Amino acid sequence: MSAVSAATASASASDSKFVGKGVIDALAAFPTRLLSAWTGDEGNTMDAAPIRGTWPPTAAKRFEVPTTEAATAAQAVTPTLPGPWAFFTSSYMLGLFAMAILMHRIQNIVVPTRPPGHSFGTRRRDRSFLRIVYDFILPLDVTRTTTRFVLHLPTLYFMGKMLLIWTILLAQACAMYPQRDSGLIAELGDWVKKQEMSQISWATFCAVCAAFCVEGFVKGLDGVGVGIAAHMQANTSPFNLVGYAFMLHIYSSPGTHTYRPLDLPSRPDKHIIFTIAIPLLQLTIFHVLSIHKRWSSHRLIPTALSSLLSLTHFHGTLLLHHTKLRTGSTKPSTPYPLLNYIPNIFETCLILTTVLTVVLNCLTQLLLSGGVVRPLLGLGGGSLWAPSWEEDFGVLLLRIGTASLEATGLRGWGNEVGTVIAAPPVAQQQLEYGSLDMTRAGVTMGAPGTTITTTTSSGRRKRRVLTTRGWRNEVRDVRLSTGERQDGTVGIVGVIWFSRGWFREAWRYLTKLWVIGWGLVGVGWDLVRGRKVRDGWMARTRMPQPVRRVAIPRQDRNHGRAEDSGADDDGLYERFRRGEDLSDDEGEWSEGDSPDEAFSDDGEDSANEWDEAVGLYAELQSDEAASSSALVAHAHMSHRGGSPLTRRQFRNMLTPPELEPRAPSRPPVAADDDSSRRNCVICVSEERQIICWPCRCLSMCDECRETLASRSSASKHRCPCCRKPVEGYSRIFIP
Amino acid sequence: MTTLRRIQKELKDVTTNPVEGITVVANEENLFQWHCSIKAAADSPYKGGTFNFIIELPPNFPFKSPQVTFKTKIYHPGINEEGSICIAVLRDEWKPSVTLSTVLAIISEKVNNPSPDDPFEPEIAALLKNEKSKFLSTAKEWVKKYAL
Repeated sequence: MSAVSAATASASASDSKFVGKGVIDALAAFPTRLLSAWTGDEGNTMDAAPIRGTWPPTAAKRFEVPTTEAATAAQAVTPTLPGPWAFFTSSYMLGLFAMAILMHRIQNIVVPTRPPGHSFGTRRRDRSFLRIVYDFILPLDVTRTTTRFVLHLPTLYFMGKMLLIWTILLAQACAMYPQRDSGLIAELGDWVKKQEMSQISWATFCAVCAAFCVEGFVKGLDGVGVGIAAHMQANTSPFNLVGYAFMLHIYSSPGTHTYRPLDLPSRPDKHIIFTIAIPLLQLTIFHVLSIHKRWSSHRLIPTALSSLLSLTHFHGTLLLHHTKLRTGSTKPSTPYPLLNYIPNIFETCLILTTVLTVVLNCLTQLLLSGGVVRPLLGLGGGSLWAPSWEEDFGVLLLRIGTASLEATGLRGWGNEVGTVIAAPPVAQQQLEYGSLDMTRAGVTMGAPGTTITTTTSSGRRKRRVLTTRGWRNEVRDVRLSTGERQDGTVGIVGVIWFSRGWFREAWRYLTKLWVIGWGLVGVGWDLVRGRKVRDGWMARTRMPQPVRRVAIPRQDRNHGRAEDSGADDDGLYERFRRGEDLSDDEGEWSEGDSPDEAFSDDGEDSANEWDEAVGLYAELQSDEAASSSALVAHAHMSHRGGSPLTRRQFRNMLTPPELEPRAPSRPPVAADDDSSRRNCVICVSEERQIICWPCRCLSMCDECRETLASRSSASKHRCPCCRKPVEGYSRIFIP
Repeated sequence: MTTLRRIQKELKDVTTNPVEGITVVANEENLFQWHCSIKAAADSPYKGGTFNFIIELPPNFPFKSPQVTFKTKIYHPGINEEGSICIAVLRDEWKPSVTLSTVLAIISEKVNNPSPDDPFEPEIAALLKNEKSKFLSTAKEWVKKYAL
């Protein structure tokens, strides 16, 4: 119950002539009233209202008709209570604007330039001392931990200081601060006690903003968006600065404070201090992690820590509050800040969904098979449950929650097919190619390819994963981006932040909820209408399954003419070319035959196919003067076989088979400039095919790449042109 | 295979587009050994001299750098008693994309313009730096003695 609302109400009552003004005032004060009603910090009027368990029936009236005495009493104690509207005129809003502009400018201007690749270093003979110092410091190597540490040092100090102050505040509010008469701890405690709340809040806001800027700046210099949600956002991304500033603003004014000593500045409730301190802790951890380049993208552990802390606090507070409420020793309104209800409740829902699913799953397995073999059966693949370090805890929860819902989504009710266990081959090798992320700044991340060998012996599976690097690591997937991750962000940079991934997962979660809800309604409706639900399901189960087409051996299908068809097959086209009459029957037959041919994979057949394709293509070419697009179209039309037509095959097709009988086309060994530019720098005879990452030198042929790969260990693989370390390569095709 | 092809190509390159002042003859039996000679430029301290040197190509050639040894004695700050020449490209800056005609060009440049920076023979370098005339006369003497 607020003083301001009371004052407004009484003011509007006294100025009853200006009814319109009164209405506007009441409207403007409404959010304040709502907030104050929820936070319920105002002791005086709250105590006056009837409590104990049920919500007072006159709760609504409390806003309209306060007694004058109560109003004046409240006014005497709390001169102002900040409204949400006041936030927009506060210095916090100004700060947010400045931050938005600053972060936007940093994002667009601080972009690393690509360093010159072939610098041999000019040597200077006589250098002054200043010059030496200058050269020692500049240019900065932002990937080095020391450099980053120095850059982070000032903001680290401020963040640490603010965290310390909030911790002391919390300890003092809980009356757990160690009581000493003298010494550092006592001095510190006294000093913190004397600080005004508004000053602390503003200093916290400034420290957070400064940390944002520093991290953004360093990321900008670095230019590497390895796994970071947005190019510039650094680790501050899962953080909502507007919300935080709003909280700081609200709780910095004495109107919201519950703890009011006589001669010292007032303080808010301990729960509020805790909810403000948790994000600060998270931000500080991020800031510390940002010092080390490799850790700077780790988000999972800090977010998980703060989420768990927040959840524990939330549930602890609610539980404690309700036990107290039952014994009747407290007010009905919870002391927990309203703003934090929603995320906590949402996360709790997700966790409960997940836990329920896993428990039910385990229970079923336990009851039916006597042991829990796979606790995550049917809950999506292993990749779903394996979190990546760069992921937000919230996004992870949503993902897992959605998967859990999906698993319980009545999906397999009609599915009566038992599990078919096929014996896996003894050793399976699976090859995965590497991939690469590129932005304007250059290659940002290279994921090495892996060879996964699965060995099965006596029911036990062994999985061996070998990563390949250097010249052995073929990169087949190059992702280009403008510096932002695929699931980018929405919002003002550095101020409001929402991960697009979060939205996507949230949408999936909601759709699943909707589908399940709708399904339940359907089932309920059927029950209401007296149908036998079970029958309906059974009917659905007995729906005929679509029969998969099975290749029937040729003799069975076409019994009588097995002998004539085999020989005639190749001659068919020749006969067609000669203009002989072909019966419809035969045409159909040759058509129906082609799927069978696709299955046959032996070399002879494919060689025949190839010959035929080349012949067909040459035939088409000779007929008419075709345009270049028609060339390609003809090539594709005449090409047959399991795989699509490659450029090399196309090139081989272009050269008539009479002149060069299917040897790989080798460029003439002419010593002209063009060939030296196009040929491998190592053997100078083959065409260049291999591009190195991350230096992007297109330098050699595949054969020399293999030689290089076998010569030394992956860590020593260097580009033959610029001598930079090679992380992977791609094969390219120049048409 | 790669090595031989590359060497043949390099040899062809060097014979069709020779570096000025340098002649190259490959060993008939052993393509990995090239006999070269360089005729010093007219404006160099070694005017009139012809210096023989051998380029030894390692068996794994483009991946390892070739070795250059001077057979003719030369009074040069960058070439020592044993005929080794100090060229960064032939040592730690070697990369397979360096061609032998580039190497020859670098050798020619190095021989014709002796400089006291990073010397192989510090005494000669000091002389060249402090008493150039003495250096020049000794160089001329050596040319007469060994390289005519």
